Amino acid sequence: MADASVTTVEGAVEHHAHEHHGPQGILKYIWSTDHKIIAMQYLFTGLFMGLVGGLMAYVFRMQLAFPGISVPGFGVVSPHEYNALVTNHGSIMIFWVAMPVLIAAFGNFLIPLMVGADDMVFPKINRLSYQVFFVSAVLILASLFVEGGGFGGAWTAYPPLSAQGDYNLSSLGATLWLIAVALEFIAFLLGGINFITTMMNSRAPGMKAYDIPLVCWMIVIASILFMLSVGPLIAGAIMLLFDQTIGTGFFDPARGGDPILWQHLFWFFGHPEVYVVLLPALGITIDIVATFSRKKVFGYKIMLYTVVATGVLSFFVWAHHQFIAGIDPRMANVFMVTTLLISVPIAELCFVVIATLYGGSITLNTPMLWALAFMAEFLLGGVTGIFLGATGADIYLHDTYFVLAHFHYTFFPIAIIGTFAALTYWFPKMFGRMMNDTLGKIHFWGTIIPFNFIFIPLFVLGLGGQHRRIYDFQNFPELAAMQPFRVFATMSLIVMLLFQLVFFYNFIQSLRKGPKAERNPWKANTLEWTTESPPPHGNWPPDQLPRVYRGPYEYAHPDREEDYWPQNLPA
Amino acid sequence: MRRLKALALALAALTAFPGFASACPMCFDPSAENRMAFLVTAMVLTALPLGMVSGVGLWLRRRIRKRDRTD
Amino acid sequence: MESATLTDRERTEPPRREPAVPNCVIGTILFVGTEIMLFAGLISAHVIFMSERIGELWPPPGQPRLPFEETAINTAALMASGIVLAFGRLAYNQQPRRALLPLGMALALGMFFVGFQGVEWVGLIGEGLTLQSSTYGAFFYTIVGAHALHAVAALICLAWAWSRLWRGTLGKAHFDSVQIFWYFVVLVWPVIFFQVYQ
Repeated sequence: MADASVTTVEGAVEHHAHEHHGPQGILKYIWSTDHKIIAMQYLFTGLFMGLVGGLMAYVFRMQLAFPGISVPGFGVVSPHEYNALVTNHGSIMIFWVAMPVLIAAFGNFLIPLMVGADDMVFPKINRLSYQVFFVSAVLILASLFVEGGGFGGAWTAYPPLSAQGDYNLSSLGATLWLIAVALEFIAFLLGGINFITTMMNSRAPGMKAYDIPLVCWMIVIASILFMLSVGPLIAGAIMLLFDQTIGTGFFDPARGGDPILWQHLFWFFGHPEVYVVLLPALGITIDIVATFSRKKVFGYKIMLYTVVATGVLSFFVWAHHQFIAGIDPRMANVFMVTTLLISVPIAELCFVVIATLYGGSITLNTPMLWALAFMAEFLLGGVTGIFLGATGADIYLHDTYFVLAHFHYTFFPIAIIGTFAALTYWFPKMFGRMMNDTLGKIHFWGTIIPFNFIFIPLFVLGLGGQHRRIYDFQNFPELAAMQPFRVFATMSLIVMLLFQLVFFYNFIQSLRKGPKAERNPWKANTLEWTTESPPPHGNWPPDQLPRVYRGPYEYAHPDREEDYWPQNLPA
Repeated sequence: MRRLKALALALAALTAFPGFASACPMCFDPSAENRMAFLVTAMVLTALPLGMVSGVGLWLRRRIRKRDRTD
Repeated sequence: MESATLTDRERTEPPRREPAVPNCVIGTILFVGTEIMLFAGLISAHVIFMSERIGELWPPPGQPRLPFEETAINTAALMASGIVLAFGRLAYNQQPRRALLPLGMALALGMFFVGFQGVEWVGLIGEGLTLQSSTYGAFFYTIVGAHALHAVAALICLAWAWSRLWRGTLGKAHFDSVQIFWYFVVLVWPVIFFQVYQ
């Protein structure tokens, strides 16, 4: 540990948490303010929650494929349990997997390292952020085991179902769920303040706005989007909490409330949230693609401005979730146009990636495969979104499995593929050892192929009119006839989950026995590769904090013999 | 071409006068004030964050420019 | 290309530049931005709620009218507190200790505001307006209560700033942060006042 007081960083960083006599032993990992350790805490909590969410999917997919059987490892799934599993699968995958891993874990790990800072600007707030998040994770898991079972009103928690224990029969579960979600938001607000301020004020000398790696920009823009959109939902959550506990009637029509009001507040946050998790994954992809095609990112500024445009537009699309909720049709028209418009910047981002690949010398190793798969699968998700964005088609497709397959084609690439891309790419830097590439590729193909086999049948089922929230389709003759599709999807899910064992084996084995990683195993340019793997406390020795001379993607520069040009090398 | 443009504009203008089809008759509130309230709050909620971001962004830019001049 | 590791190691690091805006000011601005959106959410909920009550008897039968006139005086006190704080900042620029009086006055006016609200609440509860009595009451206590919580938090910050100022350790950046937070509490109030008490 290079614990030494940091010199000559006057004014840039207000208070350092580089205690000489910090907590020792195991407490060092629990009570640390080091951004890297907090990133690991977020990462491992997120991966654990991902495992929980995946196993939930296994249980309810088994019920859908073989209604009424005793699911191995769980037992017979009751209708209420089914609802609780589906609800908490959604909530956990979005709030406790995608956000902590993509934004919090990689934001915490990468931002200080990539901008050349020794830590976050508010290390104690950072620690508080994880602690609040941890409490929220415990609460959401606890909510499944309280009397009445977990909350079963879908992750959107539409009232009146969510507004009263009498309606959803899980008063304690619903309240715990709501408190957990609210706490999770607070954790990410604290994290977001840190990310934005760190990137603004703690950059290495010489690093201008356009020298910042795109992944940092993306995480920061995502944090801004999150912070601006979450307020109305917190307001709604407070009101819903009062409805549930005190007995007010904000959202319950039986007590003079308005259920559409909740949708209004919820989706104002709910849609920007999609872009909040998309942008970091996209940034990760771009960084990996540039490194492994040994080419400068095609149009850094175009990319950045496009992302800003996406952020602006993302505030204008949220009512497309309410097309059939009885909103004003004029409003629906406006939101249809903006929804179709937002595919323009996203398509532009796809073309930037393709143009970066074009003519590059591509290395197809595990991180690169994940990054390319991200673009391919996300593209499918985006294209199917066009159908749902059009009001006419949406009236038919709303709340069917088509919607479900569509958003899994967006969220799976973001939360799972993006995570694996980042994890395999930065693994050497995070843990100081190399991962096994062959096992990585086996895991890659074992995840991607079953993933498509799960969700392509669901598109067909959705077009066939299968509604999302039905426990057992056997009572609907025309839906029961499509049972083979459901069985196929479930089988594919089981195969995919089994292939995750390869990942965990590879992860643990590489942690223990993988070959030691050098400083810069991928020959990348960004600053995190200029320090040791794993970086010491304070990231760089205090008198050797890096200085930046050029942009982050100067690969294959004609004036240089080597095909990369680290940001910190003087010209 | 100009005719085509005019046609497109006319078609776009038509979307301002939609027929009402209530997919969810239970939750459709027929009062004009209520629909207006949803419309206005939607616009305010959307414009407010964008206004705040651009305001703070411009202010930061000015501060940074000012600092760079004095350095 | 000469070996860069050598130059990197041997160069003495130039001090980093003073940030254009200090960390704690940026942090406060971001926090306040989120809070503004929270209140925007609450207020738009109230706007939608009121739009559904047009043509009904208002306030609902059996429920008291909100004390518009008394609260107008209270609002004036809060606004005055904001103005006094602005003068405090000007005085601080000349000589930090001169801000002690205006900062103290802003603090006192803020405490008066919160105290007055509390008295008003006791009266309203006595007249039968509670969270459960009607959605009207629920909205009133939720929105005004959220504001009161922020006001108390901001007052604690003001008191902290005053004590730092007394000891002569209050930095400019910290003064600015507290000021921004207090202005948020002051400026969001008129919106709530005209929407909720109308």
